[in-house]
Amino acid sequence: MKILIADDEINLRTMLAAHLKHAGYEVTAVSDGEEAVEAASAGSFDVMVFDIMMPNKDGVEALKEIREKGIMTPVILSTAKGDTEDKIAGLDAGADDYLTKPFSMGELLARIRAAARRGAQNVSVQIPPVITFSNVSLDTANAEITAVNTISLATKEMRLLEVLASNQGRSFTGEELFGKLWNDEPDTSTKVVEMYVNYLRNKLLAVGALCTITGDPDSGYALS
Amino acid sequence: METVYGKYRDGLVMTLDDLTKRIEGYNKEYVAEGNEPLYYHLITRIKSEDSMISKLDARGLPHTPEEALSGSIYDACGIRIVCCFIKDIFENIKRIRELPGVRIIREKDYLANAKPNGYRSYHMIISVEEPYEDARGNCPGIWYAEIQLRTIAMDSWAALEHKMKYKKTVSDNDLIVSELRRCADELAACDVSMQTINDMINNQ
Repeated sequence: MKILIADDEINLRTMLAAHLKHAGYEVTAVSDGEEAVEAASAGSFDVMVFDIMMPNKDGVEALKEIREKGIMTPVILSTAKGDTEDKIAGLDAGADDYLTKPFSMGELLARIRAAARRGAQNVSVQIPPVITFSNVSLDTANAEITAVNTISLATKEMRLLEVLASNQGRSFTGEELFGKLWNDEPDTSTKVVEMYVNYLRNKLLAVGALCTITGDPDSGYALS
Repeated sequence: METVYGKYRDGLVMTLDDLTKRIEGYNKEYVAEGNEPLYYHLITRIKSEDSMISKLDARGLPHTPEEALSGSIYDACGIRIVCCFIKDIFENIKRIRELPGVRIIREKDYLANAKPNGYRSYHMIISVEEPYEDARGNCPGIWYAEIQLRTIAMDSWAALEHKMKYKKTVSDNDLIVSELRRCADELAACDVSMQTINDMINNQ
């Protein structure tokens, strides 16, 4: 786990770095906002801890620049001032958490752990979500299903299968599915649902899936 | 000119010709029953001398008609049946299995199990009894053929992939390999959609 610390007080910076290293983190420590932006742009960190009051560029400015570059790593701001205005400015600039000096190492470590957890969750949202059912995995990022073989899905096929796969055990009537997936195309015949169910049935068969879509538009379709 | 097929070349050519006529024959019957033809293209070839010699060399076998024709290598006779729809492939397979005197030596279903590069096709190695002396001296002889069955889409993928000169094992080509695989999976998806549409039309 990599942590970036930015603080202009050398003693505090050295102490924080030593504690975090002791706690098992890889630490990069810099002494002002400009260096913080450079370091954040150059490397990849799991959590960043910035002091607000720093020379050259303060912590809030550094944070703003980093967020503008699209870097969404969790940032904890720390400051000696317990000023509410400061906290608002920091959080609005994209900070994830806030620490008022003096703080205990225990609290800092707990906040780093919490921020790292949230960061990891954010990353997992960006990783292609794969829904699995029976022996099939539906890769929604690449629009394909895989069992013994892999085959591509059209957009509507994928969305239809997504609905059925993420609601296993439930069935949806043709009308419900039409409302969910084709509501932007009111002129389309409702028979389109049947067509797409048939596409998916044959595609599941083609990849060697051990399941299929059962039912009809009136009694409802479900995966089984 | 001395050939790797020796004096058996004529028998080989006639065997391929007979097999082709029998496939055309069951297709004619099928069409006469009011159906659409079972294939779009029927392509046949005798494996070229050079290609047969390379294959014998690759396996460390001598360049004799016995090795080329009598059970070490099965594809001196090659038949490719290119179909419109996936179901036609299986209808052809059924009819080939039913041909009198034809025995199935081996089948590989690369439709159900596509090759890692995305290649899809159904391969059958068959033997057939023919009134021509084979390379082991039997008369009637036992002759072999490889039959490949695929859809037009699978055939076009295989043809284009074959044309692309890329090194198939070097990791620099990971992207090319995975993109070709993606194309194969998309074409397979089209085949399934076309089959589904055709089924709907026929059930109306």
